[in-house]
Amino acid sequence: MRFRNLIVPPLVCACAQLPAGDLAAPTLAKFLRVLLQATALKGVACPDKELAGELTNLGVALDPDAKMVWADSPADVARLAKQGRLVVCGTRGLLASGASLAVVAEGGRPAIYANPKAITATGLALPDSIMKIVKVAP
Amino acid sequence: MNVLRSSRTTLLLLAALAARNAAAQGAPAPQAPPAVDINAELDEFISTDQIQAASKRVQDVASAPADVVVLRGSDLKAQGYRTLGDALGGVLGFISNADHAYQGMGMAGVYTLGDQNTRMLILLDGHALNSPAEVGSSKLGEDFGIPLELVDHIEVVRGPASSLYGNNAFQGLVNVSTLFAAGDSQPGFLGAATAGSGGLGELWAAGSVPIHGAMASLVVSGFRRTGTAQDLPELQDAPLPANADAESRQSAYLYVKGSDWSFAGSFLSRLQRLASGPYGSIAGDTGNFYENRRLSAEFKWEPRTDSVRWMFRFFGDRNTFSDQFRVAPLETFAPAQPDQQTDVDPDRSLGLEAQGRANLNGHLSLTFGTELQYHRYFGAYLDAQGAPSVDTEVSYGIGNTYLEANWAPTAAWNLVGGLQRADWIPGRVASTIGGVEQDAPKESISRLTPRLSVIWKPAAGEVVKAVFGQGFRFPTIFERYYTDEATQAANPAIKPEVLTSSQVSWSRTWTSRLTTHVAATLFSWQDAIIPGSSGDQEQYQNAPDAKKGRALEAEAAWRHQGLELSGGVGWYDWTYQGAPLENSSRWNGVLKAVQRLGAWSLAGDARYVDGRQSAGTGSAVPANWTLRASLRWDTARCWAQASVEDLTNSRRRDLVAPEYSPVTWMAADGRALRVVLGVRL
Repeated sequence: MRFRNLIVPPLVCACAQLPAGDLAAPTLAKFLRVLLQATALKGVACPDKELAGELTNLGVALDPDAKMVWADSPADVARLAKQGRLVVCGTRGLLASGASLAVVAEGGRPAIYANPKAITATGLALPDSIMKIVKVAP
Repeated sequence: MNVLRSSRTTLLLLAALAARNAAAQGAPAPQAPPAVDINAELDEFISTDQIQAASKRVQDVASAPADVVVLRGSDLKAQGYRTLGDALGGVLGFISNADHAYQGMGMAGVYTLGDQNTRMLILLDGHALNSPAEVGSSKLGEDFGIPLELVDHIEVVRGPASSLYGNNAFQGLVNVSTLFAAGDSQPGFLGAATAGSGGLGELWAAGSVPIHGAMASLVVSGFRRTGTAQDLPELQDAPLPANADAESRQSAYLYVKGSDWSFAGSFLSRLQRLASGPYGSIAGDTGNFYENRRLSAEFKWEPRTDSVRWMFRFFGDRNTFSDQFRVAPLETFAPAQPDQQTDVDPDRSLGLEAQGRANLNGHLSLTFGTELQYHRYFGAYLDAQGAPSVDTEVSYGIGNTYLEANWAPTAAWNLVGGLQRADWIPGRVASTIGGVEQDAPKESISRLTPRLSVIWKPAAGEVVKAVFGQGFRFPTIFERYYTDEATQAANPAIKPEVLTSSQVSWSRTWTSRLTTHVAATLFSWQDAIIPGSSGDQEQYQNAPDAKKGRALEAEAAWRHQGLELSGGVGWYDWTYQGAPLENSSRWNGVLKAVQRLGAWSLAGDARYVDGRQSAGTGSAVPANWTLRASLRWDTARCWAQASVEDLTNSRRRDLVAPEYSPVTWMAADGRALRVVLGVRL
């Protein structure tokens, strides 16, 4: 039967299990650039290649040791938060692991959730312009 | 074989990209980020609509190679829309059509009478609800099954989108994202009870619980409506009994979301009685009904390598349509013992989709994939004695292989090109009429569908798009293979219909409060599938000439503190063989308002649809307004809402398909009041 010829099983690939973010990478990159500006930090650590590419396009410096870091797994978030770094993630559930900010999509638009305890632990104070648009995670 | 060759090309592309992952590791030179206006950037950030429907990947709406409207969940709640069709009816250019069996929807000012939305692809959390067999469901009325309270947002692609989605993405695409899939579901429970005019009642409940790192959510819902009295002066002077219009529905939806996988399963059963007496049945007889049952399951896995996001989707569907008509062979009304006719049409399918999305160097991204479906349809028509007099069996495969490239050489420019190959391959095709099996010709259908867009962002908040796209729709099983030998003939040679759209649009954000959008579009609708005749039998055929359309649309949205106003005006001009196209509306307007004040919101919308006429019967319906208003009180633990609708202003009517003959139009339900009480735990 000819239909069998359609069966193309490109199912075998070695994949690292990293959850995808809810927002487009260019949108996330713009927010991280604003966050850098607002906190007067100099760079961001970003292991996500696509997001790192967008940050580079915006002229943001990538620095693996930067105070601000993008993370998207519970283990990375917990480890980086213990180092006193400002951890930004794309999943609200990671706030419980110690992330400071979660940038997610709600109703088709970006929304920011904050973990005040984690932010305080970083020793940074986020400006009012940021705080007035964030929602505090329960 | 071409299909195999295109699939091999996809595989080679996958392999090349996987090999490329290892090489793409370059450390950029550190530099200070350029200074930005923080408040302006944040305002733009939180106002940026995020969509997936246009290119099968998350992107901001300004970068999408299509005209996309996003309906946000907060607005859907404030407006108190009950059905998906209600919500879409407020999108400029959409016109709804009610025949008291299914809620139909047309776009760009035109609706094809009798179409059960086969020309609009409707997705629920990315899963297509349309069946290529089209076994009777509109997906937009009560047969959608998900309370809009649980919808995060709806993405509406106004225009064809077959270059990625294939069949049915003809006039447009609607992707409904539930809170469970789009949002970050939290454990909890919510439920609501609704009561309203026409004997409307609904109860639904939803809950989310964490299970081994995943979040499992379940919605169950039950609905009933005792009906409204139908006034059909072509049949009789007195209104038909209300209970002959009764409707009921039961549905459930399960969604389990893991870190990089999800499972969705749904069940829906709907029964709609048919007061109007279609197909010559007895008007007002409660024994006439349509019944739909839909069952679906989908497992999706979205792993990632360093620079490629993968998506593998496995799915199965069972769509069953059945009807029953009470027929009086010699009399029009209420014979002593009416005959009963029954039709049963199930379509079962299994499918898979493999997709990759790669960002090659920050400027070029690719989306590529292949989707395969296997279907088996078996429909039977039972005569007055309950014996199968005609049955039709068709097994068929559908292939959809696509590639889309997005090149952004600078921040101001995006060039998007795409190409899709679609195949419709029949396996077994046989009809049994009067106990004699008849094989039908088995011709495959293949076609290529392109997409091309140029997107220019000359300044912050300003976007100019030139978008060329095509949509196609394979003939349904009914249109291609259905025959009852006596009155209806099959047409295995019928071709898919194709809609070509060329659009230029300009969007601008003037201030953080005011945005505008204008668009000009040309349409060419070729090989439209229309009812015709073959000898003394009816037969679906391709229209000999193209339908031509032009559209001009202007929209604006303004917000200040808690008040949001939005609206637009559209002008549409559709012609066929030099005459106005049937059921096309020249002017369309919509105005929406939402005022929020603490826990309270007051919202309303007004819609205007110009008059339309039927080419076949000469019947016409006048221009009409639809008005709605809704008051909502919403707290963390509960909400209450009252909504009123006035569909009778200017005697709103809708034209209906020839099967309702001698009825040519039907009135809307009239004034309605609904009250909702909900609780969250």
